[in-house]
Amino acid sequence: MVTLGTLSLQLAFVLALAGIGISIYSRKQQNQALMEVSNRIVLGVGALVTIAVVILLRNLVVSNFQVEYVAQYTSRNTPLPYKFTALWAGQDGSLLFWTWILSIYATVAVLQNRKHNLNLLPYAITTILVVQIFFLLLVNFVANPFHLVPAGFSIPDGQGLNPQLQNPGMMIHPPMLYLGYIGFTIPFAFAMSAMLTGKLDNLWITSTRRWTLFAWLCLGVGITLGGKWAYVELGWGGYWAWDPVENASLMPWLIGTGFLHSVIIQEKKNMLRVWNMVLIMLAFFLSIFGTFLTRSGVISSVHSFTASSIGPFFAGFMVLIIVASVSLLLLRLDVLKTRNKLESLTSRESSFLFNNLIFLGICFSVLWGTMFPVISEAVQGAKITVGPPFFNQVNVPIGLVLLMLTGVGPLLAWRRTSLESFKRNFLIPIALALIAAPVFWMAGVRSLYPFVSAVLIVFVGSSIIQEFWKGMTARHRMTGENYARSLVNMTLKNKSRFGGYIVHLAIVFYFIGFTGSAFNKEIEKTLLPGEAMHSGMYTFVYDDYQQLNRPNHTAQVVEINVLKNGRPYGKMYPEKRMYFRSNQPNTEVDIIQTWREDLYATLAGVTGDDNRATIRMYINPLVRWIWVGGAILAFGTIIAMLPTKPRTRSDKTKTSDKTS
Amino acid sequence: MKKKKRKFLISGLLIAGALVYIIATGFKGNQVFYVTVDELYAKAPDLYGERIRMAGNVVDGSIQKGADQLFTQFQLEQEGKKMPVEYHGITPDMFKNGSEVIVEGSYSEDGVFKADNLMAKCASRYEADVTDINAMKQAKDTPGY
Repeated sequence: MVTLGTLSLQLAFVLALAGIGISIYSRKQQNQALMEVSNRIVLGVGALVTIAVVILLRNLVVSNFQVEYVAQYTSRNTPLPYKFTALWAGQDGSLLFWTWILSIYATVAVLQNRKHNLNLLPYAITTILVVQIFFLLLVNFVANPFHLVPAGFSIPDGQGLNPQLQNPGMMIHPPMLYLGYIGFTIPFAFAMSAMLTGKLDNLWITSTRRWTLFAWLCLGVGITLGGKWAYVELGWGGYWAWDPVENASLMPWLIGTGFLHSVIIQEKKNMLRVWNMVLIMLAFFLSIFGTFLTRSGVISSVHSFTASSIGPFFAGFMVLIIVASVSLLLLRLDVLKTRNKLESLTSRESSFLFNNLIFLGICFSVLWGTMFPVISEAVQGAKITVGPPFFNQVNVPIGLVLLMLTGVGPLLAWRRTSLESFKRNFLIPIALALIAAPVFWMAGVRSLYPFVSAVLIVFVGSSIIQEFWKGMTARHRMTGENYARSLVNMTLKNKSRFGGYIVHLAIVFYFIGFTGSAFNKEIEKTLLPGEAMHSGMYTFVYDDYQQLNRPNHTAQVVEINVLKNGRPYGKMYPEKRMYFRSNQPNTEVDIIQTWREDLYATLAGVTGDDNRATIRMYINPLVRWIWVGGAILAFGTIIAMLPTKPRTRSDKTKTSDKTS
Repeated sequence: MKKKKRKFLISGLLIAGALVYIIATGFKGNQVFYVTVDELYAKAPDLYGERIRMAGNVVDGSIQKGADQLFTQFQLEQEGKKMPVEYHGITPDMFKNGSEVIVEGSYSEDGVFKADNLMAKCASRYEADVTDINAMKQAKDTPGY
């Protein structure tokens, strides 16, 4: 069985190598039969890698500890679902997982395009297979998940999966990120193909629009889930720490967001063609770079302390990406350039341009901050890191400008905004923001950033609702449908535009949550049973302590009685667990969640004959809005991804905006 | 047309300039020197009062907790060099004898590293301990395994 896994990976490697040659040759010769051969090679590689994955999964499930990877990441008593997730728990498995997803994407892309996209497909296949080869190289020769333990050496039981990874959120968070990272390969491949073939019109963008959206969606959801996991599992009361691994996933998402916006300009105005090429190359590069950061240990982070052998390979591959991208770009620069110019600063186009600048700026600051230890060591000889204070100080103001643009952009007209249209669109949101400002001030929101953020949230939120309202009432008047129906039909008629607005609304929700964090409070005390601590209107009474023996761990559990303004509000049961197998303590937080705020309890431990407990309480306002924002983001993106009915050319010019 | 172009150029430059300014000033006061234990001893007087980050292993048996669990003392070891560390706060779950940790804080004349941030190696989302398997291989020679 294991041999079969190794064999199919080796075969996939050879086949992919052949596919690269055939796909190039078939396009050069315009030989359709050969093109079909390279199509089938992609399907073949997909099948072979799938076989390897199935075999590895089978070994994980039946606990074949002869395979080193299985012994490293599972044990006999690892629950079945987590035996499956062990596929991406370690380096070797997750590289195979990467390869597998890419091969599935490639298969889908081939099936989608083999009939009608004969111009772009062959070189897109070449590009995809080159990426595929790189990962096949790794799983075959550097990080083979089928590696066996030395002969004559039997392992009674494996290491088991870390308890912190045994969490439903953890089951889907890494694959979501991977789906996102890898998803950018397909638009990148079509972009490269467009440049290789010289077919530089919008075809590569329209053929991959949904791929980009899908990759972007998966990254966004993956990042949010990661935050949620950190929040409920790690017990430090926060969801984002600007850790290198987190930053690595944020960067391609930011560039992807910029790309999603700027392609609209290319589709509508035929501008920014060079820029879009650069953005998709960057997004893909950052995806590989992100995988590299996670895997290589270049930057020591909480997630990866140890350096690994695959670092140099990734470095080489990244150089290849840069060289190939830049030289193709230079080669086609003249053709890509357009004569169309921006007409006015107060136009939709230029707001998109500014938004792109901002996204690039945030991405750059995150990159700079993440890489600073490496850069400073090379330049100054001293390793200097910057932590969350740097990232917050830099990105809070930039983020607020971005939030403002989220509201302003969609209200501006294409080409130029007349004074009339400005009044018509901005009157209500600005008025509401001006009314809200003193209210926030009175309510105690008085430091600069939270205040600005709160006012902007009102402005942007109301501008989005206004757009929906306008569309809805207009349709209601025209068609006589009732309001609910016209809201739905209007959205479905213009999926990318209104899907985009729904995503904007999600961003507002995120910002509500971020703003709440400015008002976080925490209190930490060692209490005897019956004693209490206070914060604001809350009183936390340490009521009771119990030691519980459970199947695979013992737990210290305290009962905290929460009073709000002196009245009973709820009970909380944070735990400190000690797992037998790993002899590892594990904090189980307890959270009371409302729209207004989270009460978040952690237990450091109970000691002494008098059962004194050290308890830390966090009061985190508005956190729930972030998780709900994540759901809205997914919903809006899915709306924007829904297939549109094929239209005739004249129709196309009539319909208004795409996603904004 | 020329005037318009200039307008775009100026506003673009303004934004880019603002971004650069924000990033550049962001480094001020937010720098943390990442040193080894050895380096800290060597450069000590220069680094007094600076914010310092250090990685290493917790020396076996060196962990001492205060009565309220909020105060912890331990020895940090890196490449044979040891450094006493004091930490105020709740220690993370992964913090125990022998574990790999990163501490952040300051160092002064008294020779004790005052940490206000203590991170223990997280069982990475993607990676368990690579050294585990090596330990297992060594265990092969141990009778009774």
